[in-house]
Amino acid sequence: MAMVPAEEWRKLAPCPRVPQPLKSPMNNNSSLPHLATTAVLCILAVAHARGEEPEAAASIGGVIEAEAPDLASAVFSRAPYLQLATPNSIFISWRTSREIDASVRFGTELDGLDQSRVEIEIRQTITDDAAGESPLHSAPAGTFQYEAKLTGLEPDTQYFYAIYDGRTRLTPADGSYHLQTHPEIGSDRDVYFWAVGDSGTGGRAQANVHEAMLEYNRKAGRDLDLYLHVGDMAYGSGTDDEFSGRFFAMYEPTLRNVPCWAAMGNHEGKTSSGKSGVGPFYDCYICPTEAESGGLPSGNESYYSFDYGKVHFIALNSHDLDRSPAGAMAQWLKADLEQTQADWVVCYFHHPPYTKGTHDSDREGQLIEMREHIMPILESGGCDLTLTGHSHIYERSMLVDGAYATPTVAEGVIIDDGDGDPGGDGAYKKTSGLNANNGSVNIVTGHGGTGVGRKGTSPIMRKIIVENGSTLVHIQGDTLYGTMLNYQGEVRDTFAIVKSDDIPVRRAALEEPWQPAGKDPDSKKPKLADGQRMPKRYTALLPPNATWSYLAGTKPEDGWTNPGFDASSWTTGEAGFGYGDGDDKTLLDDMRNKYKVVYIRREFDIPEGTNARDLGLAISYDDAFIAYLNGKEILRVGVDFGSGKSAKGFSPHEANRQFEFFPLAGKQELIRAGTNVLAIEGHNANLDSSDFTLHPTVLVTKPPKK
Amino acid sequence: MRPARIAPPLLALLGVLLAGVATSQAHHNTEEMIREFTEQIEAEGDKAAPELYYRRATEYRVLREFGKAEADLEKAIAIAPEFVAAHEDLGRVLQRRGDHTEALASLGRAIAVATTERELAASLAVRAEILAAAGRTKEALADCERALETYRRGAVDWFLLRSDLQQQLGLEEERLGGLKSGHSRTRSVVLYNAWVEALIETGHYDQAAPIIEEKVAAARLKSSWLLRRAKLLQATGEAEAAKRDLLQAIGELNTRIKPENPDITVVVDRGVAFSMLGDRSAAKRDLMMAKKAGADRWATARLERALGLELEHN
Repeated sequence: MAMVPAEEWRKLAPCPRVPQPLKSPMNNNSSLPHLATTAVLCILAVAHARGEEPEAAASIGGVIEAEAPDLASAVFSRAPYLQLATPNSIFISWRTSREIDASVRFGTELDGLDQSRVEIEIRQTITDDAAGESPLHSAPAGTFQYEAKLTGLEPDTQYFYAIYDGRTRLTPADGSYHLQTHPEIGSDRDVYFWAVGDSGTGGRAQANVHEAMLEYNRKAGRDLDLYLHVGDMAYGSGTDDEFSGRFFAMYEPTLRNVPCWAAMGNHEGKTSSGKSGVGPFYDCYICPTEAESGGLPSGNESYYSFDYGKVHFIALNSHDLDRSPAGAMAQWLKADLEQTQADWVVCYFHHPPYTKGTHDSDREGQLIEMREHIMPILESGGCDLTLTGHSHIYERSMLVDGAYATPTVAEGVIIDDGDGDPGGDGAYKKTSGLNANNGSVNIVTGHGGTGVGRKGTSPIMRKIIVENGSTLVHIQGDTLYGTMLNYQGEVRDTFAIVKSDDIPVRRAALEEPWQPAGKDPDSKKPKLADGQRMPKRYTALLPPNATWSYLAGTKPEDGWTNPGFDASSWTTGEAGFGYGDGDDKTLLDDMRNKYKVVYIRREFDIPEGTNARDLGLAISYDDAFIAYLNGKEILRVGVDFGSGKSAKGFSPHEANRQFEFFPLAGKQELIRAGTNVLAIEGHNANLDSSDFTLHPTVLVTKPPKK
Repeated sequence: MRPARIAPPLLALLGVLLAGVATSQAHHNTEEMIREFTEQIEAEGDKAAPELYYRRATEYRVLREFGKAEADLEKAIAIAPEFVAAHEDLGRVLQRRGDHTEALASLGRAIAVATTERELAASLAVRAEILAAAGRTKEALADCERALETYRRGAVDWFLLRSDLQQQLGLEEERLGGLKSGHSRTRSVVLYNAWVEALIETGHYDQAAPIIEEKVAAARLKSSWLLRRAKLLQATGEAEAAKRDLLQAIGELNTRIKPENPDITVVVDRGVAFSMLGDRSAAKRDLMMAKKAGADRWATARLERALGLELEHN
C-alpha cells in the first residue's frame, strides 16, 4: 500500500482556479407547466448569427435589461444550459414556449458582453412532413429549443453571457451566467468534476445531494469544470416532461455554468434509443459524434469521448447497444484508447461491472457483459477510473486489474488492497502515463437521489456506503483525488491515485488480499472484517458468556461509558446479546423493527504488569459496534461516524458464530491498575434486520509454545 | 449529429405505452420490478396490458431467464399481435437458444406489422443478423441493404454487418462503396478504419498508404495500424518491411496481453500478426487463448479468416 506524506498531499489537493461568484444557487422555479405532446407546427432549422453589439444597442437606449431573475423564469420553459464545450466553442441551449428573436452576447467581463459570434439553431417538435431536418421528437407542443453555438472562443477562459429576445435581455446581469471553455487538449490543466448517478426523482434527496455539492464547493472555493451524469437522470421513463422537472429544473444553477456530459441510463432507455439517437435524451443533449472536443468520432451520440487537458473522458452506452467485443461500440472504444495521448482515462457508463448494491453484477446481463467484454478493453487501454450507476449505492473498489470472471472474485485481481486514502493506507500508485493493466479504481455512484440499498458485498470493494451522495474527482498533474460527499455535505470516502515513474507497469496481484465483510448471499466462507483471526494461545480476562449490565430499547444517560457510572438500574444478562441466529444467551426478542442499538458495560480486572500490547478484544458481532475503555473510545467497527442513536454509516456484518480479535496495542495509557470498565454499543445496520449479535470477551495473548 | 425527421415516432408511442404501465419511479432492483409486474398481472387477470408482459420479459432477459422471457413475450403478442417490439425481442430470445427457424418467423411477423420506417428497419436488421448467423448470407445482405435504405440513420453496426456480408460474398467494390457512404453518413471511425482495410483488400494501395502512415505516426498504441500497414506491404511485395511492422506490433501487443485475464481483441490482433508472419501454430495458440477467455465466433472472425478456417456456424 502506497503512502503519500501529508505535507505532499496538501500540495496536491487544492484546486488552483480562482472561483467566480455563483448567485441564486437554488432558484428552481424555471420549469413551466408542461403541455401534452400533440400536434405541433413544423419549423425549419435556422442558423443565423447576430452582429449587434450590446453596447451599441444600449447607447441608443434600446436594450431592456432584465430587472430580476424572474424574467428568465417567465420566458424560459427550460433554462439555459451548457453543452459540448471545446477549447474554442460551446453550446448554450434553452427552451421557450413561444418564438423569440434569440441572440446571445458574451464577453470576458461582466459589464462588457462585446462578442456575438453565435450560430443559433431553432428546433421544434415534430409533427408532419414539413418539420425540418432536426426536429425535437418528444417536446411539448409549441416548444422552441434554441441551440446557440458560441465560436471563436479562447481556451480555458471564462466568459459571461446573456440571452436576448430582440433587445430585451432575458438573463439577469448578476454575474451568475458564465461559462468556461476547455483548455487546449494536452495542456497542463487540472480538472475538477462532479459525477452523479440515478438521481432523477425530483425529490428532496436529489436536491440535498446537489445542494451539498454546491455548499462544499463554495466553502472550498472551487468551481466545477465538468458534470458527468452516469444515467437515470429522469425517472421513471426519461420522458421530456421528466427531464424538464427532474433534471433541468433541479440542477439549473449548475447547468448554466457547467456542461453536463451524460451517459444514458435504462430509465432514459424506455423512451430514447441509442441505436437511432431518437428520444427525449437526444433532444436534450448535444453529444460529440465527430470528435468535436477530442477523441475519435463515434458516429453515435450515446457513446463518445472528449479531452480536458491531459484527461481523456469516455462515455459508453451500456444499455441498448451491442456490448460484445466485435460490436461497433467496442471497436470504437479500442481505437479511441489506442489513439489518445492523454495521461489519464476516465470512463463512465450506467451499468456497473461490479456491484452488490440494489443490483447484482454477477446475475444481470448488461452488467456481466460490461465486465466480461468492455472492462478488458478499457484496462488493456490503460483506463484509470470507471464511474457507473444503476445500483443505488456508493461502492468504491481497491486498485484492481483483470476482474472479469463471473462471479467476481478478489483472488488474483487486487493490485493494492489498501484504502487508497492519503491519510490512511496511502494513495494507490500507478506508473506514469497510460499503461495496460496497471490497475483501475471502479466506483458505483448510483446514489444521487433515489432510495439506496444493498444486496451483498462485492469482494473487490474497499468502501461500501449505503446513503445518498455523489462523487467529486480532482485530477491534477500526476494525482487523481476522489471524494464521496454525502447528502449532508460530509466527506464519506477519500482516495487518491498517484502516478510515478518508479512504479513498474506489471505488478503481481496480491495472493491474499483484504476483502470486505458483509452480507453476501453467495458467500460460502465467512469473511473477517477489520478483525484478525483469534490468537492460538491466550488467557481470558473477561470470558465468553460473562454477565454484563445492558440497556436495550432506550437511551443511556450521559457518561455511561465512564468508570463510576451507576448502572444499577440496567438489566443484567449473559453474553451474547441478540436475536435471530441462535447464538445468543440473552435473547432480545423485542429488538427487530423497534430499536437498532444495545448498550452493555462491565467492570473487569487487568492483572498488574499486563502489557497493552498483549491485550485484545475478541468479539462476535452483527452488524457493528463501538467499544470504550474507561470512558474513551478504543474501537469502532462498521460504524462510520456518530454514536448511539445518531450513529451513521453502517457496514453490515454477519457474526457466523465466530470471534474476531482486535488487539488493543497502543491503548496502554487507558489501562488502569485493578478495575477497568469496558462499555460497548452494538448496532444493527437495519431496523428490520433478521439478526443481531453482541458477544465480547477480553483476552491477554500468550507467546506461542516453543 | 441530429436525427432526421421520421414518421410518427414509434419510440414515443412505445414510451407512452410503457410509461402508462404503473411501476416504481426509480425501481430498486430487477427482482422487485418482476414482483411488481407480477402483482399487476395477477390483479388485472385477463385484462392485463400486453406491456406488462413485455416489461416483465425485459427484466427476465436482464436476469438471463430466457425461458420466462419467451413465455411473457408470447403472452404479450397473443394479446397484441401487432406489438412489433415484442415480436423483435422474441426473435432475439429464440435466436439465443439456437432456434433460427422460429426466430426468423418471429422477425417476419415483426416486419409484417411494422408501421414506421424505423421499426421496419430495426426488424430487418435483426433478421439480417439471424440470417447471417444461419449462413444465409445473400438473404442477410438483402435485409441489411433494405434496412439501410429504409432508415437513413441506421446504426454503425448495420454498416459493419453489410460490409462483412459483402466480403463473404466477394462483393469487394460494393463493400468499399458501402463503407465510404456509411462513414460519410455517420462519421464513425470504425467505418473509416474498415474502409481503409477494404481499400487494401481491393488493391487501392496508393489511396490507403498515406492514410496509414499518418495514423501510425499519430497513434499512442500503434499495433492496429501497423497490422494494416503490414497487410499493405505484403500485398505490394515488401515482405521484409511487413515483417518489421508485424514484429513491432507483436512487441507492443505482448505488453497489453495479460495471459491469465487477456483482452481478447488484443489477443486476436496478435494472432493475426502471427498468421501474417506465417507462424500458424502461434496464431492458433492465440485463437485458443481468445476462445478460452470467452471470445465468440464474431470476435475471432478476423483471426479465423486470416488462418483460412471456416466459421463454425451455430
